[in-house]
Amino acid sequence: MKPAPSDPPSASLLEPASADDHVCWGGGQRHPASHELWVKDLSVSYRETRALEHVNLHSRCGRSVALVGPNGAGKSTLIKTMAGIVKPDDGEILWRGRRLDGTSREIAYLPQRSEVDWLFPVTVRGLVEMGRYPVVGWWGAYRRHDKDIVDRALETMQLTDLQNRQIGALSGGQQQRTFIARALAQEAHVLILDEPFTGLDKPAQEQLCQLFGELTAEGRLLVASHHELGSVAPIFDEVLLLRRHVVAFGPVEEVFTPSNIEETFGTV
Amino acid sequence: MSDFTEFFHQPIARRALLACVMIGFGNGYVSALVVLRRSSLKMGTISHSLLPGIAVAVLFFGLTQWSVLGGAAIAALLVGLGSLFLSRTSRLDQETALGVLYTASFAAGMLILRTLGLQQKLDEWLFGSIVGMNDSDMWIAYGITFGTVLFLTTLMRPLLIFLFEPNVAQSLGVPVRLLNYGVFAVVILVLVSSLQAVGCILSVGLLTIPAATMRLLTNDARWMFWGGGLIGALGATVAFFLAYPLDWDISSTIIVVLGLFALLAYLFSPSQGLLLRWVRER
Repeated sequence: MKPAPSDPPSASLLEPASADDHVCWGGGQRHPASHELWVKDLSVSYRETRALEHVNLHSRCGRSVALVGPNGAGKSTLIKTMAGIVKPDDGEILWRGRRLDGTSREIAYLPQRSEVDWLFPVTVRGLVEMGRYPVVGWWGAYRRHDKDIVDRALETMQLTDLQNRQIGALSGGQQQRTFIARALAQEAHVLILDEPFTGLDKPAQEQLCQLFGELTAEGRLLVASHHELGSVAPIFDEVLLLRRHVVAFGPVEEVFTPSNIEETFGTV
Repeated sequence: MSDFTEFFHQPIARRALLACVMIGFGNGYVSALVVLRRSSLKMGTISHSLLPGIAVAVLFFGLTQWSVLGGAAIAALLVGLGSLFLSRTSRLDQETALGVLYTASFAAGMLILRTLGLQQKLDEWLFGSIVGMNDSDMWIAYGITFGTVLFLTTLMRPLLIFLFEPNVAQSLGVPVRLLNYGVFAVVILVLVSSLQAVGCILSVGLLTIPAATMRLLTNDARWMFWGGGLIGALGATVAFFLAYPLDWDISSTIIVVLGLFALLAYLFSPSQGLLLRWVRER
């Protein structure tokens, strides 16, 4: 899907476009290729404890990035900071050349499944509709357009038949897809996921892996923490090895090496 | 029964009925918050901490509506935040810290009120006295119920996302901080109004059972608010008409009636009642 020549990237963008243009799902608008996410020199602390130190990351739509590191390495903190939930002490996050201050509709946060109250009285459709909140707000009317987007998100994630189910009555894979559908309804370009593969059975993992491929092919950027080292290469394009600071970042085949992994997880 | 008709013709009785309906509705509506946040036990500790607040306020400012209201609210705030502070600055976890704080302050409150010679008032705050409400009590109850329902209805859309998952809510741009404080304030205000109806010991019931009953009947969080309000109002009304002829204590009757509603929902809920499950298994 390569649209005809597009508008040149605006001057505020940090790097010239190098990849092809793409069409992000949702509005069907054409975007310049330089849909880039920059994390620059990011440091975060919780009270006295430093959770992240001088983290740098740079990726763009159409890719998937794995965040890999031991427990306490700051993966969740990085995810929450990128999602605008945690405020950094230092550094900044740039999305499409603009500094992010707080949250953005274009960036969706998908929590770890174990952090969600699955007994909460909400249906699959109700959860997906939450993705429209940034558009409809407190009181805004829920228009035909919003309904269509929710329908489409449900359909894409094969949840149409399950839309009236309570979310607790879903399998792990279906629950994960419901959250992805919410991100689609939000028309997000960037999906930031906390341990999306954790706790899924083999078939559900394979399905999610395939879904990741489809989402990036459509021009989305996926950033996910991941703890199963064996499956980093088949699922992700890039990897950030994290141990409060960045041990290595780059294409999986280049930086996901035994010595880097050793340095990330080693005891020293 | 003619006794009751006579009683009902007195303005004090009609006022008590109105108070039952209103406080039942307000508390029932807000009980959805308590149930969805799974904080009914925490509510229990906070409701007990209202008593020492009232005692101290009465000690310093005398017995007025506003000193009672203000003292109760400040005490709830102090115990809520105090437990957080204690747990962060010591080895104790927050639950334990709450357990220490609320029992100690509750006991201190009882001592102060006894010393002040407010034995009868003490009973009212412990067990409620809906029949004893005067005009300004009524106005406060009106105000609290109306304000609460208005606030929560206005914010219903972001509120439900916030209750479901605060981090997701924040990432969607929901005003999480406003809701956090707003929800706390609303619950405290409603607690204070239920203090008059059922007292601080039973107030958790009024702030939990209506929405818990609705939870057994519906899978829609919105319905837990409105349905909870209706159940609260209905329960309080039924209790009002039972209590006088049977010479039962009204506050206990309200909670017993609500408890029965919950039991009925548990047994006969059309979607997940015990009876239905039993029939299905056969």
